[in-house]
Amino acid sequence: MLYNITMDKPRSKISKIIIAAIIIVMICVTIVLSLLTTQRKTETVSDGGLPAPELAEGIRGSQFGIDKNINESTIDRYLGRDDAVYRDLRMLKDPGNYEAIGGDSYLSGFIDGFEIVPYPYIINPTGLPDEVGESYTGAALFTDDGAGNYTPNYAESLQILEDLFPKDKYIFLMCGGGGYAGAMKNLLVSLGWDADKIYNVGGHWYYDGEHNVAVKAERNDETVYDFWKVPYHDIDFSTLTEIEAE
Amino acid sequence: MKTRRNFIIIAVSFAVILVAFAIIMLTRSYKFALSSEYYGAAEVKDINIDELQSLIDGQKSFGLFISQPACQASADLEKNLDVFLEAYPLKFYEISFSTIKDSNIIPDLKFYPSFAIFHNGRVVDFLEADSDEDAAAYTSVDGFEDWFSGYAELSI
Repeated sequence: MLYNITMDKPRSKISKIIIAAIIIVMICVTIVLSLLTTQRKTETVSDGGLPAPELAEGIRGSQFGIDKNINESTIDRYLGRDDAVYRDLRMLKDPGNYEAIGGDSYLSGFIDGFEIVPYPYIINPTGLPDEVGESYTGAALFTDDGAGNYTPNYAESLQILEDLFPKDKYIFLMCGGGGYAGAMKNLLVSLGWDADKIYNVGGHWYYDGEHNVAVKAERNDETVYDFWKVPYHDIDFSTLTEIEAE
Repeated sequence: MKTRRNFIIIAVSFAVILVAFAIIMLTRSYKFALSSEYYGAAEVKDINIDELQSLIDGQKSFGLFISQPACQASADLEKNLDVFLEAYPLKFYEISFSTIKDSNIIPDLKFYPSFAIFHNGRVVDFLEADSDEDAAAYTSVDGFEDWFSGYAELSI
């Protein structure tokens, strides 16, 4: 009896060690497998070697459609591609008087490589804050019926859009905060563009990279705007063929 | 053996009580009242950085809407705030992101729009546009009310 009792103690200790070791191994395997799965998720790429469009977290993604992988903080890695066009959708000067409320109605800077195509010339913006007052309400290529249906106002509207936003290229869109860029992507996709080739890069307000071109300057004790630096796509509506409303 | 078992039971019980106490302390509400002048009338007042610093130096408790004029990105939160203030007449301040982003007042503020709550001149929380947790506060009046009222009294 005494012999049996002394033999049982070491055996139970060994079995506890074995059980603990098995549990530790299972935990390690689980951690490794989950890490591998996460890695595989982030390696999804589009055909051009770019990360596939993926929405950022929070309202940056859900409301503004800003991309998780290609945005203000990473765009420098993707500049200068021959298979892409880069479009900044702000106006050179927005008609509203934003200085009165601490804003900046001027395009005070842009990312080198981006070309300006004012979104309000594509479609008049709606839903701006009341205090902003009247933004641009002039001629535009398209009209939105409020239900996401875009009607061309000119015979040349779609051709101009295809020239400025080529369907066979990746399209990087940017504005001040990401709002116009998100709306532009929605418009293009609605008119038949491939959503997987369009990236909402977000807002210039957040850009802190190496390729900023300053437009706003101080000279002779005055604030000036060097718009001559800006690659700007103007649309002369007086030369277009207006479509008569039915 | 019996003494050792009792010791283990007591130690585990103490640990459980300690963890429960820590959870209660971390999750309990720290609601406070805004400074009294911010109750009674619905208003969103534009301020500049110097005025904001004065409020902080004066250890005021207030709400601050951080927007960017001319940007559609700010518009939806602003509309929700207007509806919220119809129900709860409070005075908030508004400042542009371009004004505040280079200051050290809210160091972790990366994106607009946002809304910050100050208690005795210190930021207790602010909405983050890149946070899924804050999405409800941005996208619905009820979501904003739930978030705001978790910190500040809606009336006094």
